[in-house]
Amino acid sequence: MAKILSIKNLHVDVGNTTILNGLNLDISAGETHAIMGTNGSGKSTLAKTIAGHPDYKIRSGKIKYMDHDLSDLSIEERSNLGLFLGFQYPIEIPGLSNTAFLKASINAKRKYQGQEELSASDFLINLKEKSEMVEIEQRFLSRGVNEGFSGGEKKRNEILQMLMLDPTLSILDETDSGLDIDSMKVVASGVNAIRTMETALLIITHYERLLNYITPDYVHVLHNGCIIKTGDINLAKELEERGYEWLINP
Amino acid sequence: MVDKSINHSLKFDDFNKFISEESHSLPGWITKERVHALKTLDSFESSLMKSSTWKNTKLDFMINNFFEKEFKEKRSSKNLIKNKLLDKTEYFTDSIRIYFYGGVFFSDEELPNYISFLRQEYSEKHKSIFSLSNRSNRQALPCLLNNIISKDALIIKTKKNQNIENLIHIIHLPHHNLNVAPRINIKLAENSSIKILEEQYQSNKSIINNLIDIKCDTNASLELYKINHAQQDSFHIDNSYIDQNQNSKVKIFNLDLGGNSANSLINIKLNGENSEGACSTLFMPTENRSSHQNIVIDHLSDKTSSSVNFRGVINDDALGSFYGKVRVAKERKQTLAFMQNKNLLLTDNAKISTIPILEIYNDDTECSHSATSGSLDKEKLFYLKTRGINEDDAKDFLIKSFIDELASQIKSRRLRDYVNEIIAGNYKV
Repeated sequence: MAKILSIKNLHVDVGNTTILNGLNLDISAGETHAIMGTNGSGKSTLAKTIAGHPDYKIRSGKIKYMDHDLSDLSIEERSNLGLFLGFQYPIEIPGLSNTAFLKASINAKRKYQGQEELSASDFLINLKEKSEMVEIEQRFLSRGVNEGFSGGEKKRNEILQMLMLDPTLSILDETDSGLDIDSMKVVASGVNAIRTMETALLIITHYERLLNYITPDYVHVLHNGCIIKTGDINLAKELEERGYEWLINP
Repeated sequence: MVDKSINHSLKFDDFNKFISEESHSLPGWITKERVHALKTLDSFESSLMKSSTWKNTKLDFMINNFFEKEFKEKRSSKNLIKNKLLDKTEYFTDSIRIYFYGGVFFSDEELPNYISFLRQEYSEKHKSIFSLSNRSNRQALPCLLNNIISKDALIIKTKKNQNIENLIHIIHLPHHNLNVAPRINIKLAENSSIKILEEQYQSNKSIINNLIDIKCDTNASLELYKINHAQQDSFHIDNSYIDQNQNSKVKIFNLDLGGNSANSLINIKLNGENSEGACSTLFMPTENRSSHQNIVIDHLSDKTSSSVNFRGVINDDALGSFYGKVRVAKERKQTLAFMQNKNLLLTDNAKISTIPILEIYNDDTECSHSATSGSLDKEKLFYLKTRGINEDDAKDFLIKSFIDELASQIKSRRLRDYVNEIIAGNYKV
């Protein structure tokens, strides 16, 4: 299968602190990977580094996204080439409606790919269909981005954006944190809808429960900025029962 | 001993000459008012000009150039109206349009009987327009200067229970190298209501000293929209005095794009029980312009409420300032007051000064005030970019969202669209 993401010996600093220490990871098309680990292990750092957050500096190592060296691409170029980051803490932007925001995102991607802008009617039809999938009511769409949304609504809004943008690689950074069971099922259903043989998924989570709804092909444990163990869903179940100590201090 | 340093800059011989020359074409009572204002100016305590209201402004520019400008306009207003305004007419086709140009007010349509101009008759019954009794010290200098050179006034006086549906559109046409002092006097009778849009087009190398007095009787209601287009090398002051009686409601929305020195001073006195005064302002100076916003609200009766919401977007090398004061008198109960100033600095050279003050002399009060200033939120920018939006568009979205939180409060769809169009046309990220 075609390789979507390839990370080699990645070292990342935030300020004066090294967070990722020689991380290696390969994700191919059609695969779902999960990354688990204790607080401070570097999970969100990995997600933000791939997305291109300016505070996260690659000291050494390489990230390749499809055929591109990621360091050659701006944040928006990564997105327009099909990379999506679902935020752990989605940002509120009052005064910019969800609808206007989504339309701008979709058309930015289409423009980058040499396509015409989506017509208003096609956009609205698509939006209605996707918002129903994640159970976001139409009245929320005219509100400011995430403005006044509950935690669960914000996470569902991230999945709505993902569905609308139809990414090749989706990175979900603790999308399940703060979600009740019903919201988690809605989120999982939305995520599973975009899983194809051409796309890939990287789920960052503390807990096994989301992985019961989105079954990963690989589960990696991150500790001190590098992957210390790789397994499958059974590894996640074992971590749920035994914690991380047995891996960190064998 | 009175500090006369400003008075040394004021050329009293020139003022006397000006008053004398103009006296031939004006009624005696106007000349008397001018002389009275000049005498008051002579004893004016100029140390007040170092106060927070004025310290960031270029007041000396106005004073030093006062007699370097013309007082009469030589160009015809006809072409200006035709060229500048025809494309705007689709917004307010049913408005009543009044122009100010070269020191006088006029209109090209027949006006209803609640609108008149002082110079139509120069009737002495309008003498009170030039009264100095309700002027605060901080606003004294521009008021006195306005009294001295103003030769016309727009008078709007409603009748009891009169609800005026048409928008009154007051248009200050562009001036070049002129010193003008527009004067507007509005009296809203009991239970009457009115909507006014006052628009100041871009003038060049001019001094514009605008003074508006508004009295709202019991249950009267006013929506006032003020748009100050970006001024070019001009000194602009906008003084507004609003006096409110029982149950009256005043809502003001200001858009100020700045000038060489653009100053807005608003005084609201909530004199009657249950009166409400609200003022929202967007000030957005660019290049090397400045915009100084100053508002004082006095709660002088029980159960009054006020709301002050000012947002500054400062770009390039521009300077903005906000001075807001809410005063609650000692005996006054059940007061509600809210004051907020938020500012966005778009460049390293942009500057803002913000001073929000609450002076509360009574416990039975609910008041809050806040002021924040900063650059565009980096996390919001990152979020937008991760959705494929480029840096320029992302900044544009964030600035628009900052502006829109205030502009979206304009109830009238036409006015909201008009304000948004002006912002979009004059303001480039």
